[in-house]
Amino acid sequence: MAYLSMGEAHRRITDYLSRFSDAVSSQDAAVLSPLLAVSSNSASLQSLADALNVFQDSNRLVGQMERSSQLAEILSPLLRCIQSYRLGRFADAYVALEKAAKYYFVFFFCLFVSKIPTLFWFMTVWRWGFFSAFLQEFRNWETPWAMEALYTLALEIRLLAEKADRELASSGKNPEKLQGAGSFLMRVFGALAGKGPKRAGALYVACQLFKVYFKLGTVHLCRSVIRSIETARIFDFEEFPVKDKSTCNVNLAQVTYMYYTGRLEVYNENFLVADQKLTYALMHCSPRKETNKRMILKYLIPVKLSIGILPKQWLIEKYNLIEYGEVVNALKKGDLRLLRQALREHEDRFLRSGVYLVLEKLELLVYQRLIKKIYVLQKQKDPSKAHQVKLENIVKALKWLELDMDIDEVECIVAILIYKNLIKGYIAHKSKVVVLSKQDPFPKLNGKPVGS
Amino acid sequence: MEERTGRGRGLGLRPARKALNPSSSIWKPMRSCPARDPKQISAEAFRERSNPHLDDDDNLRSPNSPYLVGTCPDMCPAKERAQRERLRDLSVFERLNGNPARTSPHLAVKKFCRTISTVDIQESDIRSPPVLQRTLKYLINLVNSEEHPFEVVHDFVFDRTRSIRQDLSMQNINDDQAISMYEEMVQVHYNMHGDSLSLWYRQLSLPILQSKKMHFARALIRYSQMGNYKRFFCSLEAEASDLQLCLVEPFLNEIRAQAISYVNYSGYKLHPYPLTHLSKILMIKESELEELCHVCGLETSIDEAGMKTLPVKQTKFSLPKSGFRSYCLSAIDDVKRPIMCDDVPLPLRQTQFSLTKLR
Repeated sequence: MAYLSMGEAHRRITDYLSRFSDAVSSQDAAVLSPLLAVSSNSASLQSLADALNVFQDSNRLVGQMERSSQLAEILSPLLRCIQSYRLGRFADAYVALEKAAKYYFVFFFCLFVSKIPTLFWFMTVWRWGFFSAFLQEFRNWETPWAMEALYTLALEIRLLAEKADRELASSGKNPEKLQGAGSFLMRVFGALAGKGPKRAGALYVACQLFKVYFKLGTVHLCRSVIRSIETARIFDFEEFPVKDKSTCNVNLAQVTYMYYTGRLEVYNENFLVADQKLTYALMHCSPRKETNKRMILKYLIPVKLSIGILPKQWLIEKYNLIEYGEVVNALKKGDLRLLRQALREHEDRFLRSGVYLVLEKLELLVYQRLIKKIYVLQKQKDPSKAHQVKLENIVKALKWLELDMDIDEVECIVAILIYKNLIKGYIAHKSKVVVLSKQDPFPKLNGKPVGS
Repeated sequence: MEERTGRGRGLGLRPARKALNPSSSIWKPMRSCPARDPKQISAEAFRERSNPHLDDDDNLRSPNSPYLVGTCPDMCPAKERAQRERLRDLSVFERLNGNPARTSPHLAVKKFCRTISTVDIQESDIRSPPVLQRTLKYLINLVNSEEHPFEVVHDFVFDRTRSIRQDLSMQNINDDQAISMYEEMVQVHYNMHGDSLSLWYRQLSLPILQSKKMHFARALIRYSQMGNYKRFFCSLEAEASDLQLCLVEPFLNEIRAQAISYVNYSGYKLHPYPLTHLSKILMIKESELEELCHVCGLETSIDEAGMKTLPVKQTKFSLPKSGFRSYCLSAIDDVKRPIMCDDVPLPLRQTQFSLTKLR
């Protein structure tokens, strides 16, 4: 590393502080956000961090500059965060960031919180003059400029917490920063999810919360977030045009929101709703984001299969979702052995993503297909007798697939298929024959999930 | 024709909170189970568990030493109790007389901890299997008591049962005791909010999910959810241990009733279904099967040869609102398995049913 003089270090720090204060006073989110994006490893933040390491007493500098001193509660911990991050001390970086974020949030948003104690606290912390100026500005709040910086902060909180936990865990300590980030973001969310223009921010923070909860495995905590979003009716999701650049952030938040809530619906086996949400996410996903599309399809495909819709082969290949390839083949051919093989081969992946049970349930559709094939073959040989299928023939067909099922079990399966309207007909128990309806003996699912 | 709920068929899927009887009272070792049985875990599974790896969601799995044997005698190690008292990090359920800074060995339950390293972990911090049983029983009782709002209880029990699973996995316990505890925890989850099985599977490690016993449990769940009563009962007869039979017992009648409704719906009017045949498949005495049909609102009949039958395509099938009484599990060969329900108090009795489509 090139030698860095005290003078140069001083310059870099004061430069950053000026830019930050200018951005705040001119309400310039585009300038402010990159100054907060600690984990972005931008060249300017790295050079700032180097300067902080040389010039150890940055707090004094913050206090010295008039405009930045008013933002000292935010800037001092923020500088500490940037410095720790560069040194690879992620737990320290997270703690500092949470402090800076807290003050940022309180500073810019507590004006909307009608909780009196917070206001009092706020007033005791800051000089009255600056506070009232800001109060004035925010009353006339037209564009939520500070919201964009909030997005950046919320993201950074989560990213730093994840890094901090990894650091803690690998040194044998208790990784509790991500959980802390969850609590922090939940408080932020709570303050945003109300009335007023900051509702858009609530959606974004909700998405960060989903990511945190999924990672922590405490997925059930998503429920209260979803309830708030739905009762506050934050969006009419149709309202926002897809290709509008100014709503780009909003759009991404919508897609992310539908993706996570769609996943939850898959886990709860509400396939019709899951289909709606995941399809929405897919359709509104930016065309450039191929990885996002893949993530959505990973859950959408099993859902579609459950309602009897098969993806085309090119889709599976394009998004590299080959694990579903064999499942689709099994459904097309009525090959139960193939389905079971596919489930075995990718068991870990399917269990981990939570779609295993969904795919398992497709067995009934495979049975239906198999019996239909037998029916079709019989029809070719002798159309007049085709509608009577001997159970014994189904046993033989399964044996040919190396599956050992006795006639009682076949009768049981056929009874289930009839009950669930996958086969129209009846079983003549004494003759061990299933008599198929002459009209549409194998009804399509028509968008209703199998087993409903 | 009533709407079928999206979940709640087959084993143990219940919508709302129901009273549970903690089943640990029935836990008597039916045969001696060593605390650790290395043979039950394949070498590969063991290797997998010793090497921490990252899954899709970056959950680090704990490596574990095969020699870690927990000695903690309380639901929460003393060290953690003291620390949490100091930090005032006590849940409402753990506070002594409502004091946020005081707890007791009878109230404090060990928290879930996402650490991966066993370097700093002492055996006195890990609870032994009997203590884990006792802890689970305590948590189940908590679920039953209606004192506190649902959300609060849920979060607490969710976290603390996770900690039980962690202690089990750190001691590498995969035997019957552990499996039965997992099964009970599944019950707790279902009864609390019908939470999805998928979510639960996501959290279990692959060796656990692929263990012989868990494999069997998963298979049973699969058969019952699909309604494949034939394979369900065949598997029970072929593979289930006495303990597993006890755990499964409350669900058997629901599966039998479902089978009756399938047979009734899909049959041919001129071929009434022979009860002898069906009773063998459903592992129930013929007389009791007849009773079960009646309880479900269906009539039975007798054919020319004097054999009992179920006339099909009846329209009055319905699940009884007050539940089924317990029927004894009857094997084809009665000598093979003694009838158990009289000897052993029955766990997890249900008082309501998941809705099934009625025809």
